[in-house]
Amino acid sequence: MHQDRIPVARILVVDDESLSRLLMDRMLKRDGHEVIFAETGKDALQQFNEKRPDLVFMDVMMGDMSGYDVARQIKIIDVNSYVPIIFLTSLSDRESLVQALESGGDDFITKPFHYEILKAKVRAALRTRSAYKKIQKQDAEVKLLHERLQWEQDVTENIFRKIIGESQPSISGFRNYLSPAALSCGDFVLASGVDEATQLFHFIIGDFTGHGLSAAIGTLPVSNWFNEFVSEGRSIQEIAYLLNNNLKMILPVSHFCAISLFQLDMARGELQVINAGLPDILVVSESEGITKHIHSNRLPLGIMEQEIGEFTPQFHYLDKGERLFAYTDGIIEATDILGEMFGSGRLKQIFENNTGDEWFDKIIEEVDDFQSKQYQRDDITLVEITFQPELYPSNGVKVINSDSFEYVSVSSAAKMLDVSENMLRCWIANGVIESTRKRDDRIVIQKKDIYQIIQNREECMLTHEGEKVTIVLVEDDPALLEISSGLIDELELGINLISVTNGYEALLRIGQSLPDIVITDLMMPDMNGFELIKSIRNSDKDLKSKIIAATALTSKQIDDKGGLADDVLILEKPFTISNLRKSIDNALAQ
Amino acid sequence: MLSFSSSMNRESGGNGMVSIEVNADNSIVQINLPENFDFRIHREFRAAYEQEGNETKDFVVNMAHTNYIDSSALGMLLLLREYTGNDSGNERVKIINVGDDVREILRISKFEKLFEIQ
Repeated sequence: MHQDRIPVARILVVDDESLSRLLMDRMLKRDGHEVIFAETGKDALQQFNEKRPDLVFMDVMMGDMSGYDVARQIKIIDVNSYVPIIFLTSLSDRESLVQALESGGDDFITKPFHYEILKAKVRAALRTRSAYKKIQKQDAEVKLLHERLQWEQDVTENIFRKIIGESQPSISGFRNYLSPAALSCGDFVLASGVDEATQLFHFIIGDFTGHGLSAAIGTLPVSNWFNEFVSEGRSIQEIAYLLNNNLKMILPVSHFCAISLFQLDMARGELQVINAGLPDILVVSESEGITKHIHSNRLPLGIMEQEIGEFTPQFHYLDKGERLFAYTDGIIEATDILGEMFGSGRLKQIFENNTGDEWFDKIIEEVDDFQSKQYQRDDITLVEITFQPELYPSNGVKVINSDSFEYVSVSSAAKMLDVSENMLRCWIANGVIESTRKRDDRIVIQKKDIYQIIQNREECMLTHEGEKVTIVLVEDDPALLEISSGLIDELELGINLISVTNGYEALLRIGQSLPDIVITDLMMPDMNGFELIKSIRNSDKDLKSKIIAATALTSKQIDDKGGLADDVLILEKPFTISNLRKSIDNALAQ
Repeated sequence: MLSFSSSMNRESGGNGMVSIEVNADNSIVQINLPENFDFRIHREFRAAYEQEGNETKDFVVNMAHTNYIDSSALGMLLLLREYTGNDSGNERVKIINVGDDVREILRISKFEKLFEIQ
């Protein structure tokens, strides 16, 4: 350190002796300091307030107040910026020196003193002051940074809850909990609705490596991908495979996502699980306690690319009333003040000592109590699903999972659907089923779309099993449709009636149900009756459906619009029940 | 398999929490980890392997003293694996002296697929 270089400061000298002030003025000015004076205690406080000096020299004995009192008051005024006070004293008894320091003084110098001593004291005091100022500045910066971080965390959490948290459907029997900061720390729970046709429920629970925003950011794309993949009807095996590859692309090497994916048949209890890096998933029943541990048996997602075969799910059947618990490592690794972990033993005890309905809340409560708030290593994320088949009646539909997301050609699609290729092409042409043109110009169809149709058809067959005559009724006017179907019901012929409101749906239902009779309106928007009849006739030579055109058009008007084939029967609108009966009998007699 | 004799080079890493040993022909680097293997030592851990000429060496991560690892520790191991070239089936990173608690965490994450764990 350069002994001679002292920072220039503004120094307040409080002394009622003029000789003493003169001496100080000379000595301090030699080093270039700015010197201001106060002769009384009151004056000292005023000068301090107005001039804000960097250092104060304080005489002990003054007329109005003692130097100790002035020092005390200065320290009260000067809470935030440390201004050293050095007592000027001729006293050398121990008592008064102690009092000088206890009243807030930082140092003292005994009169008479030498210039070199004063200089050294000033330098030391200013050094302390500058160190204090530096710390204070850093402290303010840290505080600001911390506040900003906290603020960002709050904002992020808010956004995440909106995007992920609040978009969760409410599912009977399904509960999930994320502790306040868990969401913005990389934990997430995503759930689809329960598919009405299949009663399948998909959900995932996951945990990105690390803490804070860098961990949390990954949940946004995962949420989008999950929703997309579920809506495409993909299996959890496919979803895990695709998520893994997608995450591998976006995550840095050191980051990954531990995740469990679930598909539960809410009506039958069939459970498919993939546990990639999360703690054991527990199946618990009130009577038997923990009945199954589903271990993690594969790498977390995003570490390395893997084949789809690596993601074969584990199967398990839930019994009625059994509950499944899945959680991130926050629960088992929750740590108390002594560094002990919550562990699976305590979890087991909760199951033993409480009723099933209490488990979920009890786990959260006990883990929260257990870990000291200031030493929280991880956040709590917990999912519970209770198998309650009574809430999800089985609809008799066989569940078909798309076993891969490949496309098939039109001819094999037709075989799978058990319809003629022409009928299928007709469906495609009319948008009943979606097709894709591949780069090599082949027209292909997604397997899941085919499964969807097969499933609908099975549903339809199951409902109408054992009935004699199937009629598809096409009428775009809903009121007329209701009246017409009412009339057909009144015939009491044991007719299986399928009523539809447009040509496209008609085509789909005709292809599925191979009806005996199609009764169609002619004037309809989009695909009118003429086009529909043509499509039916062209689509499938084996399709023996009789067609009745229900219309208010005259025969001339019909001819003007292109006419109808000879075998199409005309039923004049509005029709009576007996006319309807006659048409149906005629059609069946043909 | 490898015995690290007392004659090995010992270097202190950073503040002494992570230390390095190198075998006689300088082909294997052993990284000794402290009690807690977590984010706080990520700089030191990285410094322990990222050294001129280390790219072709094999690594041994010694967890004899380690009884806690967090997920960022797993991330650090993945970075080390990447440093050695990520070759599946020809793992050049070996993890030794793994205690039960740590073993459980490595098991849950299936890290035996990526590292030779002893």
